[in-house]
Amino acid sequence: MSLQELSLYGAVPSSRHATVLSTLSAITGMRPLRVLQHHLVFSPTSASVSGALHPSIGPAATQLEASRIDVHRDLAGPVKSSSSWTLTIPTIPESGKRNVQVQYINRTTFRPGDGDDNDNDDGSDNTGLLFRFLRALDYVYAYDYLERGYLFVYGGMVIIKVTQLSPQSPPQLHEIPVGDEDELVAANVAQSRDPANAKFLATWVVHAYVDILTGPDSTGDDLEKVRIGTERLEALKAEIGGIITIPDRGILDPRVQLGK
Amino acid sequence: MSTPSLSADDIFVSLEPPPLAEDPTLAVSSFRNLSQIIPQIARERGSFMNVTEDKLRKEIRAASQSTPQEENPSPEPSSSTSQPKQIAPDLTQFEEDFNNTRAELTRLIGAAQNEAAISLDFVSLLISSVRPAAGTTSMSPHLKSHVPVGSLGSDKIKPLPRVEDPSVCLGWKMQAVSAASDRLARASERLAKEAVHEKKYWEQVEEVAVAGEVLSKMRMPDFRGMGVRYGFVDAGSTYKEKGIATLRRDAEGNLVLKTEGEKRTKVLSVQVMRPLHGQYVMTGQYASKVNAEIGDVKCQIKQARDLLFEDELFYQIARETRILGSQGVTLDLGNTVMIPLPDDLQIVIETIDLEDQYNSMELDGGSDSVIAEAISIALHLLLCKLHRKNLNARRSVPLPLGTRTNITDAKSEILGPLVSSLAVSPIKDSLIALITELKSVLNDSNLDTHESLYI
Repeated sequence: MSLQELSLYGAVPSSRHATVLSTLSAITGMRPLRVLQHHLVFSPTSASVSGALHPSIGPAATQLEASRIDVHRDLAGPVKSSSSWTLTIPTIPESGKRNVQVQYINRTTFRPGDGDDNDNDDGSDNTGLLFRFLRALDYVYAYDYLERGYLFVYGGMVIIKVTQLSPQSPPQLHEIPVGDEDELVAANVAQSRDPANAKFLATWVVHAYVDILTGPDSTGDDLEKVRIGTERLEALKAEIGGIITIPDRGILDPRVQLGK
Repeated sequence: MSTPSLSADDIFVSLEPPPLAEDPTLAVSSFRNLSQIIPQIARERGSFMNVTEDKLRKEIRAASQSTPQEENPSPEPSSSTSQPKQIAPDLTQFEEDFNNTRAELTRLIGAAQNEAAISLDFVSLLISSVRPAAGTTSMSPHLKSHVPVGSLGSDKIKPLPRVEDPSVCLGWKMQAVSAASDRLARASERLAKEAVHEKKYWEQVEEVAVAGEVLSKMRMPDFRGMGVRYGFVDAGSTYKEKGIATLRRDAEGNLVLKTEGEKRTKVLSVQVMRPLHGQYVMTGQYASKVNAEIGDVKCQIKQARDLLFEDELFYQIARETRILGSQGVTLDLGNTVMIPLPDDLQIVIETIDLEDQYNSMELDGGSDSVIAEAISIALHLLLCKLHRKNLNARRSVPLPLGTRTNITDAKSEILGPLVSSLAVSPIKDSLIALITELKSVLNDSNLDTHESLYI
């Protein structure tokens, strides 16, 4: 489905994350839902690149950024392999002076075909299929990361995610035994990521967003929906103003300071 | 200045404004501007020293002689003869005025001289006290003979320091201080009373908080203080009443609970009716028990909560009668719900006043009263279940805005399950009876029947 996502981002240091969670609990009137997701990021590659897993020569950086595919699945359930992968293709957020960030996203759930892997109880999941599918679209695996944290729902409309990220180093070439690359990388990536032992970054990212369905399947006036969504986000911003600053320009700043 | 000899042929062109008509009185008026005349005369004649009486007389005679000569060529002899006559009285008047003014002038000069002499004497006397020699030379003999030399002295004086009268200061200070102390005393009394009232109020609020009520800060247009949430919004209710009451303090410091809107008085009552002699008669009844007495604030809050729940329950039931209309459920007069059930049973749900709940308990102990009680309890529980369902819906991750939700038909959450469960038993019984009959018919025709009954 094609969505328009209105977002506000913020960052919270580790020291304050308990306060933030209790504040959000109070505001939304609910206990936080646990979030544990494994994200894989695929980049497009030109067909001429042979063998290498990482595109050393590829499209220009800005184009690359705009065309990444983020695939994620929930690990919070009892059986890791039972949840299906969700593909998200985001675009670059819209420019202009706005109160909220507006971004168009395409999202779909990756479902394996019916005649495939009916009795797949031995733990191997459809990650390999995923890799092969994306390879067919000329996308290769670039890196992956884990995301864990909490989720709140505000006003029946705004979703607030408070999460930590754990970047994972992609498997090196020498770690992959000879064989079907995609399948093996997939197996390696899917199996070796253990949330319990992963090292998470200290900063918690607060992402408050409203998803609006666009396209032929949606009902209602688009502008009106955007207006309602923006209003709701601004109401949230006002309510948590003293505790969390959203949007926090600092975390969206890609520049790096020396010495810090 | 000497004027050249004038001839009759000379034409006079004057640069000065023409003089006014000759008026005898003007001679006097022109004489009044002494400050202008004197410098003019001084310019004409050099100084007053050159002005003597004899010279002036000669000039006057010369002027009077010349004017008749000038007037001679004129053909008016009458004017020429009358003019000396006019001039003569002018001159006498003139002389008289002149003499008077001269006398006045002399007098004034004399007075001025006198004043100057007196001033000189005074200063001399003053000096003589310090320098006798310098003073005596300038003193007048008259003064010397009457006043001894050096008898007038002078000195610089310093102004005396102002001596403040301490008693005046003290008086004012005491008055101010005592007024201030009175005010402070009164204020402290008032504050002490206020503190006692506030303490009482907050103790009562603490009791309410300890009892488990949810308190919140209220910011209403006419009230700012503590409020208590006695409603079910946090439990998932979507009723129009939010159930927030304010905790106010009266003049004595007592806690006063003020609910929004009118005070509720209705409770739910369930009646079981069966037909008797062709008419429906009430055979069992149960009304929710809510404490009607007005007790302390905690009791009032509980009472408000219970009554709000009853209100919401009846509202939901009344709303669902519309959905269950196909099953015969009706709403009469807006406050009575009739549910017909199989076996000629009828359930009536209505709201009655608080006071009436005790009056109508004469049918206690009967089996239908037990049924009525069970139905009432079930209705209350189903409303709680509805609240819980709303809460879960509110907490779940929402679908994107604009997603088509296929909820076009409202579901009956309270009456629906109740009616179906009450109606299922007779229907089940009749179904079993039918199947048993069929089975016996089939058995009689020697056909094997395999029965398994899952109910």
